[in-house]
Amino acid sequence: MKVSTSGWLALGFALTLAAPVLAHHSFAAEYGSDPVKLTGAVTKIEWQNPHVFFYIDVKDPQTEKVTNWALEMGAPAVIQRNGWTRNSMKIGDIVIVDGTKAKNGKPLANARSVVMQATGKKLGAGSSEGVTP
Amino acid sequence: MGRTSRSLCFLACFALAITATSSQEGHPLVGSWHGNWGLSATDRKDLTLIVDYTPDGAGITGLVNPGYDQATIQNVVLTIPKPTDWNFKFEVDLKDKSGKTTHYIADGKLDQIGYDQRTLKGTWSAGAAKGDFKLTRDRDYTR
Repeated sequence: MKVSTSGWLALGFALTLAAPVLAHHSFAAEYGSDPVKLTGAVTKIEWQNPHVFFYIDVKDPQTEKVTNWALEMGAPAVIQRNGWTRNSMKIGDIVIVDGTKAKNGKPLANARSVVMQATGKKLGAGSSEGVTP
Repeated sequence: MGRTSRSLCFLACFALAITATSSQEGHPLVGSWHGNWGLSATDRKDLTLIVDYTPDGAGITGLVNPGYDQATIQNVVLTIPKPTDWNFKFEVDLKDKSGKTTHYIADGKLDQIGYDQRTLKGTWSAGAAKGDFKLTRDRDYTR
């Protein structure tokens, strides 16, 4: 089958549009059933669709070894409905996170709730756990 | 080239332009960096550096080890003798486990500047004692 130039261009365009969809996934595809509770300092916040990510440094009190965890929350619009604003969390804030570990064993988890240690304020993280298959 | 083909070409170029724009990196130092420092090869301590850049304001600012013992970087000097050579020097006061504060000077060079997980490495000194540090910029999970 001969594909015209227009056909190739259309295919390329479709692939370009499809790329962001790859970032969207179901809870079950990435996370298992192991709960995790982490306390650490915020190092980065990615306020973007389809999921907000934030990163925390968790220090082992014995060895002082630091592990940087990536924590996934819901979409920006979803967590805003849970009381989040872009200023809710700042770099250096100590947070306590309840979530579920990733299946791949990496320091990655889906956050269910986030407590700001300084104020005790608890915010839902818009987790997709139990919502999507 | 027909009208449909021209439209498709335009759409393809538009899509490519959006992709190129969304992958812009900004200032090469900005981001979170993880690694370690030490005054000897065996005694290493984990190190986190968060760098921000405000073009019309404070310029380059940064935070070392965010959290309970975080410290702001001071006396920041960035020299770029040529586009591939970025030398970054800063000073920071860090507390150890006992609460004692030590003044450190980090003098590093950026490597692999075109790579999102670029590195910053160089000397890490405290008074006459001289060691080294190495940091790698964190990659966004979503990339």
